Amino acid sequence: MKALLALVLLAGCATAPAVKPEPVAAAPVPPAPVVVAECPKNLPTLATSGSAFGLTIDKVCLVGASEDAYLRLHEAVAPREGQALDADAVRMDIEMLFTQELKDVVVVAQPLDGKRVMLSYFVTEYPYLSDVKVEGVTALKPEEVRDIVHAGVRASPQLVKKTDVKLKQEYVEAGYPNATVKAVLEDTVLRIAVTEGPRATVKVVKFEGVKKLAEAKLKGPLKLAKGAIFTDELVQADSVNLTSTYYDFGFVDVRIENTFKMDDAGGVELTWKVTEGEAFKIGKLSFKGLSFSDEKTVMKSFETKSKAVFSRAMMKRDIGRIEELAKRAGTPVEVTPLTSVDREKHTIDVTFELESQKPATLKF
Amino acid sequence: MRSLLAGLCLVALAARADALLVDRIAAVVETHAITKSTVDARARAGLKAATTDADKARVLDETLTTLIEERLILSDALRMGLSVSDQEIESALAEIGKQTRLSPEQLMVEVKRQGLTPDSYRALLAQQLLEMRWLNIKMNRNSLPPDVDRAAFMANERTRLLTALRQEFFIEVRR
Repeated sequence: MKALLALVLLAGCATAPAVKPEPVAAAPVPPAPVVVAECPKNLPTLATSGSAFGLTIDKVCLVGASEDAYLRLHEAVAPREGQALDADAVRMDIEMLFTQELKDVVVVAQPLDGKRVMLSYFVTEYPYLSDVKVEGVTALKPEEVRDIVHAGVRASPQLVKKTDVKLKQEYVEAGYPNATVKAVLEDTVLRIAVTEGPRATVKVVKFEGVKKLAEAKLKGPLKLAKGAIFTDELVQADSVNLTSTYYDFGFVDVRIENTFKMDDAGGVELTWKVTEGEAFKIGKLSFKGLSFSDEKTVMKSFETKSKAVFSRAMMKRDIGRIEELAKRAGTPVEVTPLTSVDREKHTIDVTFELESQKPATLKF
Repeated sequence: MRSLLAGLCLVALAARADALLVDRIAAVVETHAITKSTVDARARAGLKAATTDADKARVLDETLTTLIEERLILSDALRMGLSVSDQEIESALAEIGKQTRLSPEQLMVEVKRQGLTPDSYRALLAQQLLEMRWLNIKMNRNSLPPDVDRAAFMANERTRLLTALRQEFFIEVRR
């Protein structure tokens, strides 16, 4: 019946002026108006006020999706049919659809009568990237660029940004901190222009603020020595190395910063700015959960002694000693050092917290 | 019959004219869409207080900026593997209840009075907890001078880190 009425309605709309008036004996009882809910082809003119929330969604339309994306996207929103129109649900749909590399999503409700509504998701897709043209890349291998961007993916501004950022990052990691990368989308072709600049090599390493430790001691574990390729990764690693050295001489409040200058030929002058602070000594040493031996016996094997200068490396070795002793006693433990710092007295109390390791069990 | 058909056609035409915008994208951060409804919902309290169109536009702009910043932080925090558990949210709710001397039920009444749903309030709380965790990890403690106001330092660090994230992530405002 509904289909018949729909056909009648369509036919009527198309040919209404040609229908010949016929005499009617009695006024017929009009049937309930039935609206043909056809999915729109374009975004309709929108009303400036009104709300359709709470109305039942009679039909869900997905407009603008390509053939290969239609089924996947429609499947995601189709379950809304039969539900009441809800703002949160539509918001979630938009967020979900947008993660599918779409360019835009607009959701429009078309009231059909006082109770029902047709919900249309108007989507716009980005075209696929047809080619990637690269200029000025000599320090990276073609496959390294291909790993970052290649034809066949959606040609979106997100892709352009990602390419810019990742390629620049690759160059910084390879020792080209001054490399410039410019990715531009021309229709479906991504053009990447790179100016690599010279490779950064350490020319000199300087220290500022070092008073209480010898520079030679600090330089020992550093990876960025004269002649080394200067990379961000190595700067971070050396920042940790310097902090560790200071920690091993009791300077637990040390602050390490760095600046660098690069000349036109890529020679880097790296300066470590150090704020040393005070050297801390060990205060009280204690144990929590020690059961396989007594404190005196365990402490006999320790390098860490009360009133001695605090050293993180020494403490690490002592933790290894506790674990070894416990293992030998047949009660393996995990040790966590808990520290309490007294900044007035410049002491650090250490409690070694021991927790039994449960023996591994096999389940079949 | 003709008048009936004409009437039905009118129903169809009228329906076309009444199309209503349900929601659309107000801004994009990477592949995440911030919808107009999200901005409107968050700006509700501010919009109530705004008296002029210029005030309302300012409230909406500020809200959108806040939502973009939150998304940037969330994206970075997720990349770092940070998360907030339900238990942590419950603890935070209990703490807020203790500080405001409100029972959980009274707190939710107050939340609704502010124009938020309990779920959106929890989401907001989760965002704040995650942001604190993110800032604690990312801020440069080495550059914290000994006598500086910690709150001001953290606010500066947040701005510095957000500037770096803005360089790294794709952001598009469509409003």
